[in-house]
Amino acid sequence: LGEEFGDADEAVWGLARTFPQFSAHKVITRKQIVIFLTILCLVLMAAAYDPHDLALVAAAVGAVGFVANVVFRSLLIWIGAREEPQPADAALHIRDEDLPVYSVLVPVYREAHIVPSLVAGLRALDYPLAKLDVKIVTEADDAETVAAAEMHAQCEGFSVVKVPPCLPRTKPKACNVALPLAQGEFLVIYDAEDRPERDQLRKAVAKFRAAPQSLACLQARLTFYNAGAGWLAAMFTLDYELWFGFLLPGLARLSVPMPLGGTSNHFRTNVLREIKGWDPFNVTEDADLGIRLAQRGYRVTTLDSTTFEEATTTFGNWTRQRSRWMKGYMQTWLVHMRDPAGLVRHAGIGGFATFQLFIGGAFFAALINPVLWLMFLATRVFAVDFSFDAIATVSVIGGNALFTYLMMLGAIRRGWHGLAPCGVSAFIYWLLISVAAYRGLWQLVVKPFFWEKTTHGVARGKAVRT
Amino acid sequence: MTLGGRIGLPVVFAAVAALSITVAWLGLGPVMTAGAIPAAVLAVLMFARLRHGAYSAVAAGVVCASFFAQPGLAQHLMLPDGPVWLALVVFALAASGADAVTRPGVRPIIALGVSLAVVQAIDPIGVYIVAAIVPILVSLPQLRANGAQAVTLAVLVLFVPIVAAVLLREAPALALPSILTALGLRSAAVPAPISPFALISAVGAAIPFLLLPTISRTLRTPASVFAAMLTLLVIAAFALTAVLGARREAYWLAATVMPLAAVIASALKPAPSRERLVIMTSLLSLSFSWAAWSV
Repeated sequence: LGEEFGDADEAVWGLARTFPQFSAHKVITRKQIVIFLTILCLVLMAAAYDPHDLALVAAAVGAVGFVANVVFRSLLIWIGAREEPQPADAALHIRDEDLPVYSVLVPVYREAHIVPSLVAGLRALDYPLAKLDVKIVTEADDAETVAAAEMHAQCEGFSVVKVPPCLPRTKPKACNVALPLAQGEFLVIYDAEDRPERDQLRKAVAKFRAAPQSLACLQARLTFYNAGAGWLAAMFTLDYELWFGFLLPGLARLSVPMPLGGTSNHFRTNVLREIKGWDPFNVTEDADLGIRLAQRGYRVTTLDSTTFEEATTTFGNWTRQRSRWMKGYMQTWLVHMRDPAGLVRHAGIGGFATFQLFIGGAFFAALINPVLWLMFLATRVFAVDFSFDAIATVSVIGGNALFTYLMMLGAIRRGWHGLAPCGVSAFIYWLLISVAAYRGLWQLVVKPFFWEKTTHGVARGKAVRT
Repeated sequence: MTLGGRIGLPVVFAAVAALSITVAWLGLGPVMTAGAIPAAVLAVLMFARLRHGAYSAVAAGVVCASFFAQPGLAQHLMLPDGPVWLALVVFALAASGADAVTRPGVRPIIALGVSLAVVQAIDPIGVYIVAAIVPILVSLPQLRANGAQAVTLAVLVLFVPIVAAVLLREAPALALPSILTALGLRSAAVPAPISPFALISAVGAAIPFLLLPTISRTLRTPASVFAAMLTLLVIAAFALTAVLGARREAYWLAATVMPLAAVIASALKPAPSRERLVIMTSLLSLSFSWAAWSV
């Protein structure tokens, strides 16, 4: 059993020192504050001059943004759903001796009892143990998890990396600590409760080897093994099926920047080191990394292999997780909009537009949705004439219906037909996302780097927090 | 893969609609009628569909040509306010429905739902088609055997037309017919009532194709059965709307029903005799129309 200690200072400040423009350590720049304040002043002046017309324009802008987001997702789903002939399964034909060393990072925090199944799962991967470089990354002061890791990971290719206790206590910081110690040509990150398909690493090697060096990252599909654990788990599963089954493949086919999912990201290790790993201050470091790779001229695409995860099943837990994601998307948007011209230069006009619609649109739609609902109800139920009846009708009925329809489509790809009727209630799920978005917005202001804990292990009878 | 599948049916439709609207808007009718563009697209889609169904270029060409050679049909399809849009949408409906039956993927299901919503918005027969499509789909053996799949398909297929109907009711300004009328793509004038003779002529021309999946067990597939049932449904919807007082030109029924022959033919199981049979059926259908026309 190896035991390693990482460099916490480089892990925390490496990105901010080398590429300060991409670090979320500074939430908002002075230039951005000036722009926001200017817009606010203009809005206040317009409100003083003609509040009715201002409200009309604001409603129209909100509705257009909202509908544009949903329509763009629909187009991505259409593109992502295109069936392409699968190449011969090269993964199965690579001889063991030709496989490279593959690093597997698994950040674990206060999850001692998940460690045995985690180690067993990783040992079951169809990859020679001699060529695996598994690093269980845990906080040095999390004695229970450290002890469990040291006890169960006593086998070839496994080691425990202890992260010196310091702020921020985030998953990306832990990964950054382990990154310099990784020995593999390729590197993947898994969560403790993940169950990747056995041949995932082989498939990733085959795809990397068949691709040019500019392909820096592969995102495997994520889905849940506990989709039947209630309404929230079912909706979450449909959400993930849509995201990883259609939306991300759609982005990949358009060759535009793709936000990564939190786990099962396979990297070329040298590229990851070159761009200074993950941003420890961004709470969706995965989404940010995908955009940052595009900014540096690298490509990200999807890997046709699935990792099964555990869906959160309680509202509180789900809200914590989703509000962190929403906050992270806001952080990511603010970081990459520090230099919009640079983003256009590196990602192209299409990439820039995609970034606005997919990253910006995600939290914008969630924030504006309840406002549009209120407007719709006010015009209909209370017969208040806001002069924008059509705007409210089209955006609320059309937008929410389209979102609901898209969610139901999520059940099709894997033939999980039993989940589709649940999708009818997607408009409720979207309102919950709005609750999380407002919570995320509030946290962005008061505690931007706070990592909302998600409880895992509920599906297996024990609750742990990551 | 069909042309529609490669490029994406919505993209094709959007491009055709944009081009046609531009032509109508600029008043280029004398040079190139707005109806000629969708008519050409319909021909290309029919041809591509047949080629995708493993027919030779000659056989696909014969089927398409026999459609356009129906008496008076080609010239009426070229009219900007003629039946070409309905024909195009019903063809898309049949093609996506057949694909959804064969392999219920996301794209055919979306295309089917959108086609239903559009046909419902542009023509009175749409309401009857929407009402009857789900019973037709779930009556097919492989969907009957899988209840959950049938429910999912039914919900997904009906969702888009229902929401479209609600939207049109709540925001009437979005109504497609009024937009088409405003753009000159739909005539505001009331045509003559459809004659029983035109009905018989069109049905007679369609019957040979309807018989193909019905009588030949070796050629029959669920998709071809679906397309044949949809053809019958379209004829019944036309008859019903005629009985209820709808007025339209005599060519509308033939123009709408005959392209479905390409969908039926393309869905037939490949067999040595299939191509010859389909060519003969096309010629038989064409002979019947011209005979009826002469009489």
